[in-house]
Amino acid sequence: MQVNWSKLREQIGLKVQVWQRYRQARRKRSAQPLDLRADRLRVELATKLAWQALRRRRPLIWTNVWAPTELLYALDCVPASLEVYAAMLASIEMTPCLCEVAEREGYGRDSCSLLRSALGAVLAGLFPPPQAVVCTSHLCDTGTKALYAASVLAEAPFFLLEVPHQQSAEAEGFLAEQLRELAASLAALLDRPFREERLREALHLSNQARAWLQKANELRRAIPAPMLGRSSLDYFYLMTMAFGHPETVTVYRTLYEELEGRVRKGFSPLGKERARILWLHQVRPYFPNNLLHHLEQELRVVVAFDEMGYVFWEELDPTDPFRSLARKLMANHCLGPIERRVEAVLRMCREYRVDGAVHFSQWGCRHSTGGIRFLKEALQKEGLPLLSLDGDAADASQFSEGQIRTRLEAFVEVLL
Amino acid sequence: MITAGVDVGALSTEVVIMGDGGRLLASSILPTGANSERAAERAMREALTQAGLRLENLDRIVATGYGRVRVPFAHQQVTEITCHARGAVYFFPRTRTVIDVGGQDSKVIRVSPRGKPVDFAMNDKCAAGTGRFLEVMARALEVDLESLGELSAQSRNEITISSMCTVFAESEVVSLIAQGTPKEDIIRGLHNSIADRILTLAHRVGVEREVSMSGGVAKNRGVVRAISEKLGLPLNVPREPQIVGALGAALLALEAED
Repeated sequence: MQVNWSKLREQIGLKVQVWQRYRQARRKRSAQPLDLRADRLRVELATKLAWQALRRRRPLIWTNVWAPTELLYALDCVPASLEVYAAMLASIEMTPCLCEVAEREGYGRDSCSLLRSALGAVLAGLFPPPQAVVCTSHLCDTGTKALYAASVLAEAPFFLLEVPHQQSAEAEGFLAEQLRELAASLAALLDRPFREERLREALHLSNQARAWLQKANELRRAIPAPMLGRSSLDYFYLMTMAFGHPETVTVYRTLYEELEGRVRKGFSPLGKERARILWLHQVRPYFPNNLLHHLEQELRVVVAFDEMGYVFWEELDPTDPFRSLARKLMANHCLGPIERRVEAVLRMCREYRVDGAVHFSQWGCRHSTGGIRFLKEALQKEGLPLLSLDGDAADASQFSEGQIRTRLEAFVEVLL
Repeated sequence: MITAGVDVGALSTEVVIMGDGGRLLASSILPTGANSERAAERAMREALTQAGLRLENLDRIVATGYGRVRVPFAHQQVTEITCHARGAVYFFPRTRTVIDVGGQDSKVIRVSPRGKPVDFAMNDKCAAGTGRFLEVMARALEVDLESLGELSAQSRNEITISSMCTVFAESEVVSLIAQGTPKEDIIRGLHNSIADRILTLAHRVGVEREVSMSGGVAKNRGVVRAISEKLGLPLNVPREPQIVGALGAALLALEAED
C-alpha cells in the first residue's frame, strides 16, 4: 500500500495542534473557576467519557446528538456524539482548519460547521475509529447524511433509526422494533449477549437523572435566577451523551442540591437581573467569545432557561424498554409540526416568566431556522419579542462579534 | 442643559449638539477613516467650534454606531437601532417605521409613538444593500457617488441586476457597461436591487405608516424613490438624514439627564 506522506504529515500536525491547544485551554480554564460544583462534575464526566473513547477498551459507538444512549450503555459501549466533539474542538479553535479539510474533500460550505468540522476531524483521523455508527433520523437531516459519510470513512457499519413524525401507537411500535433490532445487531457485531436486565438498569438510571433534572428545572423558575445561561447551556452535553450513565444522576442531583440552597437563600450569581430571557436552540458560539458574558454580566439579562434543558419526555418504563425508548425519542417537541415546538416554547416562557427569547440560528441549520417566523409570531402575540441571532456556533472566522453585539444590545433595549 | 450624540459609523462619524428643549445647536459629519476614536474626537471638535462651546460644557454625551465603544468621552453607549428610532420620531413624530441605510449595514425598525424600538431587522454579514455597495458600483461606473440619484432619474429602461452579492453585482455591472447599456439604466437597476433588499427586511418587521428614512443612502433620491415605489408609500426624509442617529443619541442623553 502506498503511503500518502503529505496527508500523514497533516494528520500528525493536526493531532499535535489539538493536544497543544487542549492543554492551553485547560490552563486557562483552571484560572476561571466554574460557577457550580455540578459544573465541575459535569466536566469531569465529559473528560472521563472522552478518555474512554480514546482508549477504546470498551466498544466505541459514534452517534448523533439524539441517539438513545441508554441502549449503548446497556451494551457497555462508549457513545461519542460527533457534533458534541466538534463543539469541543471548536472551543480550542480547531474548526476553521477542520472545515477546510472537509471542504477539500467536497463537503459543502453551506452545511452546518459543526458537522463539517466533525467530518474534517474524521478525515484527519482525530477521532478514534468506532465499532459502529448509530444515528437517528429526526431533527437534523444533514446530521444523518454526515454520520453516514463518517461511517463510510471509518469503514464502520451504520445503523439508522427512523423516527416517525406522527404520534401513534403504530409509529411507536415501528420505532420500538427498530430499537430491538439495533440492540440485537450491535450485540452480534460486538460478539456479546444483549441482556434486557442491563437495559432496564440503564433506563432506571436515565429516570433518576431525569427526575433530578426536572427538580432542578423547577428551581430555575425562581426570580432571581439561581443559575446562569453561561453554565446551564453546557448541560446539553449530558442530554446527548450521558443518559443511562450512573454519574449523570450524581451531576443532576448535585445541581439540584446547589440550586435548592441558592433559592432558599435568594442567591443569584448575577444579583439583580434587568430582564429574563429564554434561549432557544441548543447552540451557542463554542469558540472563545464574550457573548453570554456580555449579555449576563454586562447587560444584566439572565438566560432564565434554555430550550434544550427542557424535560420533554415522560419517565421511561423499564418493563417495556424498547417502546419506552421509542416514546422518548418521539416526544421531542422539535419533531413533527412546528406547532408542537411553538406550544412547548410558549409553555417555557410562561413557566420561567421570561421577557423575551433569543434564538441562536446556526448558519446552515435549516431545521431550526425554518420555524423562526412561527415562533416569532406566537411569542409576539404574548407580548414577548424574539431575536433571531444569526451566526456560526463553531467557526470563529464566520462570526462578527461587533454585529452580534449590536443586535443583542438593541434587543435588550427593546426589552427594557 | 446641553447634550451631545456621537454616531461612529463604518464610513462616517456624526456629532450633534443639543440645547434645552431639544434645540439643535450644531452638527458635524466627517469620514471615519481607519481610527474611529480620532474621528469621534475630530467630529466633536468641529461641532463644539460651531456651537462656540467646550467639551466641559456638555452635560451628557451618548455614543452610538458600530464604533460606540471607542468614544472615550461618552457617558453612555446606546445602539444605533434605538438612536435612529428616536431621531426619526424627532423629525417626523408620526413615524412608525424607520429605514436606515448606512455605510455598512441597513436596518428596518418598527417604533412606538414615543420613538422606542419595538422590533428590528438588520442585513446579514454581507454589504449588499448598503452604502458600501453603492460606493463600489459608482467606482465601477466611473461616476460620483453623489450623482447616482440624479442619473437614475434619467433612466428610460428598467433593467434588473440579479446578483445581490457586491462582488458578483460589480462584475454584472462591468458586463452591462461592455454591452453598451446606458449608465442611467444600470444605476436604476442597482437602486431597485437595494430597494428589494430593504423590502425583505421591512416585511420581516412589518411596515406601519408613516415610514421615515435615515442614513447616508437616504441622500440618494433614486434609492428613496425605488423603495417608496416598491412599498407603495411615501417616505419622510429629513434634510440631513445622516445625522439622525447622532441626533437620537443627543435626545436620549437629554432624556437621561431629565
